[in-house]
Amino acid sequence: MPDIELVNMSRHVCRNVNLRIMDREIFVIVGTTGAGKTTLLNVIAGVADYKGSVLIDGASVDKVSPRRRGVGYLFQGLALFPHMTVEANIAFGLCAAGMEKSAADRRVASLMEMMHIKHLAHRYPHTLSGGEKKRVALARSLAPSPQVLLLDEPTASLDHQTAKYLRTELVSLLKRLEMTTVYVTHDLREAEEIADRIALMSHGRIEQVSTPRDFFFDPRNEFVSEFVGMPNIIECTRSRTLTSGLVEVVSDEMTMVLPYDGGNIRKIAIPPDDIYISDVKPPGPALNRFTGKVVEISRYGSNVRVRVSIGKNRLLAELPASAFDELSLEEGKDVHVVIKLRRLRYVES
Amino acid sequence: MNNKSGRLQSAWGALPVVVFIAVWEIVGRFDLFPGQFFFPPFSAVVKEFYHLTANGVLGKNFASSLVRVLIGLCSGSIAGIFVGVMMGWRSVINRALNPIISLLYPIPALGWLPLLMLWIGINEMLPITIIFICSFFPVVYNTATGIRNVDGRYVQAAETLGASNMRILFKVVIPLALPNIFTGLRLEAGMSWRVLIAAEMVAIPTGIGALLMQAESLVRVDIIMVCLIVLSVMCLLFERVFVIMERRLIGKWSNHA
Amino acid sequence: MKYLKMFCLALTLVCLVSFATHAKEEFAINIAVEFTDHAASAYVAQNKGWFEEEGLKPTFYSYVTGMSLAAALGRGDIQAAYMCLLPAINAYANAKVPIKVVTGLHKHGYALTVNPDRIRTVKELERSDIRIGVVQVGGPVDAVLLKTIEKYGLDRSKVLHRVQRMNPPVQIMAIRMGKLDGSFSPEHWPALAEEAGFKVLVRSQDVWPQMQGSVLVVKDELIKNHPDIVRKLLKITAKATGWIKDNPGEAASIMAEQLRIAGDKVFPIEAAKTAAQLVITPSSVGRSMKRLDYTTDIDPGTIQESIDFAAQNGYIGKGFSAHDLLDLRFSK
Repeated sequence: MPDIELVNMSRHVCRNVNLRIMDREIFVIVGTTGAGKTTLLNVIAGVADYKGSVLIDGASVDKVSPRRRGVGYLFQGLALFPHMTVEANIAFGLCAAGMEKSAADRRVASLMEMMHIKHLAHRYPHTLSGGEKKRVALARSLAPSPQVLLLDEPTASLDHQTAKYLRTELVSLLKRLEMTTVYVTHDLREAEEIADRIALMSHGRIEQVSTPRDFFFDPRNEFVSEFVGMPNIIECTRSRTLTSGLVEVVSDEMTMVLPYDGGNIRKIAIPPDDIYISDVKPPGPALNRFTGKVVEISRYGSNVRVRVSIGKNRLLAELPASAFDELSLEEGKDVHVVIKLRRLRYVES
Repeated sequence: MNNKSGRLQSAWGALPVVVFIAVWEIVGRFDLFPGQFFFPPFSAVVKEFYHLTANGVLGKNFASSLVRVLIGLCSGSIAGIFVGVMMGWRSVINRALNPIISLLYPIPALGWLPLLMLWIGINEMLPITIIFICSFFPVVYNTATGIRNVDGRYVQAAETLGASNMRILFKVVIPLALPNIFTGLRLEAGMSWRVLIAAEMVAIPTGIGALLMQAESLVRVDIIMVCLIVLSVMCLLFERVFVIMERRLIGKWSNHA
Repeated sequence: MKYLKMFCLALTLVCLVSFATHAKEEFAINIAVEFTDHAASAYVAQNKGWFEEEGLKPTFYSYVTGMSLAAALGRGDIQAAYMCLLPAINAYANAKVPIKVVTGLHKHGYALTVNPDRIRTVKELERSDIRIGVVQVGGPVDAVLLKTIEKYGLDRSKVLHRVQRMNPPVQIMAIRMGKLDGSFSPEHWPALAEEAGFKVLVRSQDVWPQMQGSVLVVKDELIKNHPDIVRKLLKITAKATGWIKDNPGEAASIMAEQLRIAGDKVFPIEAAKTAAQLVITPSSVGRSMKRLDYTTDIDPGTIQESIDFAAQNGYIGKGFSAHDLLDLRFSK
């Protein structure tokens, strides 16, 4: 599978973007709305004019039309042809390539089988659910056997459950097909789940390209740090396995028990909204609970950021202003801290 | 239950027509207002309809009109669709033709009559040409609009799937423009009959319009009414044909495009 | 005494005023007239003020089609009409308009004019490349066409195939454009066709010797309620008809002027077009009027012949007696 390179690419908000996507990797582009994510996909696909250069497998494709770039594209709006059945939609690219009918029928059948949409063959797009439409669109983009797959927010406007299910299937499929994939999303957590590497875009610029872990443990600048939620990085001096699936880590006065089945943990990243603070001792077992002192309180939009010191560790907690106002906390006062990690982000020794 | 309510609805829809005919018959039979002589009862019109059909006069004139409408409407529509597709698909063609089309479109079809009488003369081509003009311009406009209104994302999707420009035009763009195209065709189907009648009233020897003129000269209001009923039915029928065609071709998806 | 003198003076004044008022009392009547020299008696009488002399205040209307005239009669918009006989028969029989023919206006007055380079004989009317303009079915011009076919033994379907139905002004336009080779029309239009280079080939006299041209038609209502008015109309018409025969030159001048004025009202656009190319001169009208036989004589037998002709040729459903349509009491 080819790699993709953008050299000094400019279009609309994007200015002199340089980017390299490795062959067979799942490369996720995240960013806020208007960052230029879809523009990048359009440029790679060749459906938008641009300045600069796009290379696929080392060869320039600037003069190559979209129909010959070998790129499969799942558009954000899907763009399923409303006047064609599911079967006809999927077969469209094959007919365009002049494939023989029986061969095309076989390929369509196998794709529908793979995407579990065989029962939808003679239905029209407007009769399908959101999830079904996404599967059909994906099958259609895969039908001509592209070398590169572009996915623009494939789980957008799906409910949480369906999105999760589709994402799992998608990752499994992409890994199986080993395609060079560029995946666009605004959800960092989704990117974390599936990406080999992530590029964070803002106002047409690439802020950082790295593995998901490095985003949390090595944000390049304040914007990246803010985007990933300004996690607290805790250096662990000691780590020991308690039992299968549980590990105890120590960092100065803090001893935490974490669900983990592996080697020694050297660092963990704790997002501020995974830290709960209270002016009274919360009920429940004394697990991952600490007493600290309020060092700094600042308002941040509709939230309040509270810096708490626990021994040598300085943790940043973030909570809604309405919740903070119910507590009687002020700088210098003692505070109870509970850490409830929703997702473990760590660096091993 | 569905059948019964369906029949009830049909009966309810037919009631105004029945009432209308009943009132017509009653008013026609009794001397209710001055100039009553020019308002024959419904039964007299039906009788004359039968008479004209039996002696072949209506059939002969209707056939002449029908042929003219079919030729004019078909040629005008086909030409209109062709030019409309060109204008919608290629902006350079649109820029070239749009000023001329914009100038000529507002001229009512019958406004061309005096000029055409001089250029073409009074023969079969005159009503056919009028109907051609009546069909051509609206179909061009609706077709070009339909083509231009096709969401660009469908074109992009087709491009990335490897389709050539021609394939995109014929398999994606034109089908998606069909709802607009049919709107134009439906409007002109009935209009073509109205325009034909007026064109035939100018010295054309056969046709429903010519029959209408003869009836006027002979002060035969019953024959005039027969002609008008035929005209009305044909307008409705032609429009209905296009509605059915539209439903067959694009009914499954057109409301959701 | 003084008071007696004053009384007498006042009485005299009252009588004079009454007399004057009575003398000035005019009967308003709406009359339809054809836009041709067929209605010459009406135009001449209007020009000479003979209507007013009889205490009539006429308003003249011209109608383009037989139906619009019949409708106007039916509605009561007009009470009398100077019109061709056959349209009157159609209105009476087909639309049951309650009218009576009270006197004749002229005999004949219809002709076929042809392009002499294209048509030399009547037989050539059958040629496939010939185009003939004729006024609508059911009128006297159409009757002359059918009589011509009958008299000269022409192939009816062939000739009728060459026919294009159009009103006389449109025929003149078509002649000027070279779109017609022959034109059947009522006088004075053949005269205008002659001005455009055509020649008279057939006159109504040639195919229908005693053809009744136009007649004076009045509503039954007028006869019933105002027989005196009908009598006056006949008197005026007879006077004007006699005057036309005695003063053809002056009659032609009056007609030329009246047709120009009436033409502007009836066919404003078409008349303007025609006028730009052909002037309605006294000489052309005079030539036209010579082809009419202006007379108020009317023969029930001739009327019956017209009614039978109309029935045979499908103008009317079935024939009827001429006496049902005629009321010649006032002309005796």
